[in-house]
Amino acid sequence: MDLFLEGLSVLLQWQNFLIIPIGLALGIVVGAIPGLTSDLGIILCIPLTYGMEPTMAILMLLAIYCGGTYGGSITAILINTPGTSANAATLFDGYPMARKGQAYKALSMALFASTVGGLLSAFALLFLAPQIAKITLLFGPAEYLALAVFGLSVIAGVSNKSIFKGLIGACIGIFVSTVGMDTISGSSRFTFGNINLMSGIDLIIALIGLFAISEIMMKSQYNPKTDHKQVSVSSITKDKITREEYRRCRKPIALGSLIGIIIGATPGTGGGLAAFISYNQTKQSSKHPETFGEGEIEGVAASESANNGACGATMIPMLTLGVPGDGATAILMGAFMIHGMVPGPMLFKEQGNILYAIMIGLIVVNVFMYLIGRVFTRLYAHITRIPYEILSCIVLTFCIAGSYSTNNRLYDIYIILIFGIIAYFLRRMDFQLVPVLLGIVLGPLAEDNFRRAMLLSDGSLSIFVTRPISLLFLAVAVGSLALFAWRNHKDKVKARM
Amino acid sequence: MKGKRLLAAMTAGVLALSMAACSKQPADGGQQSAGSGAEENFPSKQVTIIMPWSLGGGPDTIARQVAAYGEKYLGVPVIVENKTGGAGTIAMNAALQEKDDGYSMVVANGPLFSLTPSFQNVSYTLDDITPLIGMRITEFVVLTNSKSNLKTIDDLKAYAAAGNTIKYATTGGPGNDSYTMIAVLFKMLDIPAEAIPYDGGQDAINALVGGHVDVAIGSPPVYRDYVANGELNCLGTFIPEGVDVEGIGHIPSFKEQGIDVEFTGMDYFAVRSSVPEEHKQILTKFIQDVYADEEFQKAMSEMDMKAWAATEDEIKTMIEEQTEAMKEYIPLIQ
Repeated sequence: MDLFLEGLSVLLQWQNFLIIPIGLALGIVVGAIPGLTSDLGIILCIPLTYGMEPTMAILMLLAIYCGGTYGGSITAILINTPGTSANAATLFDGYPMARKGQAYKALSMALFASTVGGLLSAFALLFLAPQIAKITLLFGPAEYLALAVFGLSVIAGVSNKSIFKGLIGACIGIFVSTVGMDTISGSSRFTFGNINLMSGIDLIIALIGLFAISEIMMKSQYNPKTDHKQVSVSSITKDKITREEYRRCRKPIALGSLIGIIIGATPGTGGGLAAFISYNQTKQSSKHPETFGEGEIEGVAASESANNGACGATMIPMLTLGVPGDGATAILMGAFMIHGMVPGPMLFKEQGNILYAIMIGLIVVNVFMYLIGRVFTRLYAHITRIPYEILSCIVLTFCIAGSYSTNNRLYDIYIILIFGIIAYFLRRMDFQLVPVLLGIVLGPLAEDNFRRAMLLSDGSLSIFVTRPISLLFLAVAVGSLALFAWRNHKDKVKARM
Repeated sequence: MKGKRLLAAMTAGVLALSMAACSKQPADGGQQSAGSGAEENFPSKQVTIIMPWSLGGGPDTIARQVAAYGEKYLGVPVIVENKTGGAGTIAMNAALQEKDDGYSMVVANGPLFSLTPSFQNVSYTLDDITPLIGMRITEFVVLTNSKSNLKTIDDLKAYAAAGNTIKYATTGGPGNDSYTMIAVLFKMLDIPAEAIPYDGGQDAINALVGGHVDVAIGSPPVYRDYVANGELNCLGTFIPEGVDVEGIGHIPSFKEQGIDVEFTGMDYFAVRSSVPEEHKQILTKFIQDVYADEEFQKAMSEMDMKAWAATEDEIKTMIEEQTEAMKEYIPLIQ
């Protein structure tokens, strides 16, 4: 309690309250531009924080992180391209909502869900961090594999019409994830001697190619004369979320935040996976799963609450164990070290007051995010008024600039173009792109941990069912697949009658 | 009109100048040539440090600390650019493709020369670079979980004699320095053991703390807190004279325990060897000044790190010795 009060006094300085909105605004902007992620925002701003007090510095970076995770939903909703990988699940219903003219409503719900998820996550970090960290330590290779399988089972739920096309898509994704140096054997795979492929294909680069470039190509049939709908300026922001809709979204947001916290606290995963699992669970437990994918506001709520729910929770293993929860926290960890705080088990003992200031500050960050987000939402909603022939050029420019800036090399621009062309043909053949993305995200997690588990168990598969957490995840995965199959069967019977 | 003519004249001037500069370039692009000649006011623009390792790691953190003093001691901004992947070879290649004018430095280590060439085709040799000054020493320590009964090397031997295979976590796959050294250690002890490669030092230590593996290799500051609070236990280090760690005390070397294996991890700042001598001296002086800065030293000690101000010759000798040692070690584990 003493540390809590000390932390509060460290936090309550006007500089901190000045820097949080700046960080958030920066984060929302970089998050919303495809190719620029909150990771990059944090990297670019670390040098700016050198001269700041540690609390102020970390709060600024955290604000970028949270703002970026929310900001990515803006482009997912408006231009069918997730700003960061964490927002990919928002595409399913966010973009259809925008096409129905409900862009403002979708953006508002994304903001509301993100804020609630972020707040709950910040509270979990503040009050439950040591307990959650203990559970995280129980995660060995077998548990990670089980978690990845559970994540992959989401494919069944998100590949609308054909499960086989979903599986093929996931296989393409897993194949892409195998390119590059294999950590376990040290050999390079599918690089054809090309040094640029040694470090593999960056997730964000694949994402831009798959979603943004292919989306622009898909619009090649677009006719500006007939397809562009003129919307009156005043009507855009009039369409507010109704009380009934808030009520319906209560459960998805609660579930999403919880899933976000659990997945976020597990190192090596992140907000993207949390959002997919949350979306899938909400869809499966819904009384009207058929409306998902057609612009269901609950879908936006489920995925956005989960990815921001992961934001605070990814800090739990970082602060308590020194293990970053995802890419952005790995960079944040570097920032902690630059400011003289070495994340790990002793950090709470040595610099507890600063840590409490940061953890309480994260709650403030989320409150500010809602306020700033309200302003941005109103502005961004007007993007739907830009004719697509102009918007597509702007998007393409940002995509190319963004992918170049990821590693500062031209090679990545070729990669996004190649991925864009492949994705275009996949879409023309009615493939969903999300299973491809799931494959890219979960492939390495599944493969590396499967091989580690096999090394540990001397090749016995029993390791996956003799450990309780692993068994639990596998059982849930099998259960959700069975439920899916049963539902499908029922629909077919109904259709026949 | 007048303005336009002036502009044209200036453009022509710039063109002529740049062509002159180009013609000065050696036709063969030779590695050993004296480069593009010393510049009187070096440095007159931003200096870049190419960093082969990811953001937030030990070398990156130190390089960024050093870079922050660019304006103060060098008069120009210094930035760090991470070019990760390929066990550091991507950054090395990038550094050798940069102009040899001294505006690009690179952070390198020993294994890039002593170890990596045995596992990958590389296009550089030690002659392509000049180490300017050391950065840090990395002490690899082999650890066990205190809850297990593996407190000493003898415990390990007894455990193996009972028919068990030891599972150890490494911080990377074959070709990685920690992987090679711990594998060599078990070979020399003649104990059946199997490597479980993890992605980085944190993950490996985490696997040990969680009880998923028997042994892990780590370097500071990752393991320090766990040893200090009694969760992990040190078996020994590869540094021949052992190391003294604050809060832990003396960690004996394997050499002291009668096992003939040693390795000193090191990182250092380097430039292309064809960079003009004067520029090398200016850059070396810059880093020396930073190391001597009180504020810098305070920041380093807060992170439990120490700058290592070794000279060019010291570093080169160490790399050469390490290369010789690796020639012995690598066949053991292949």
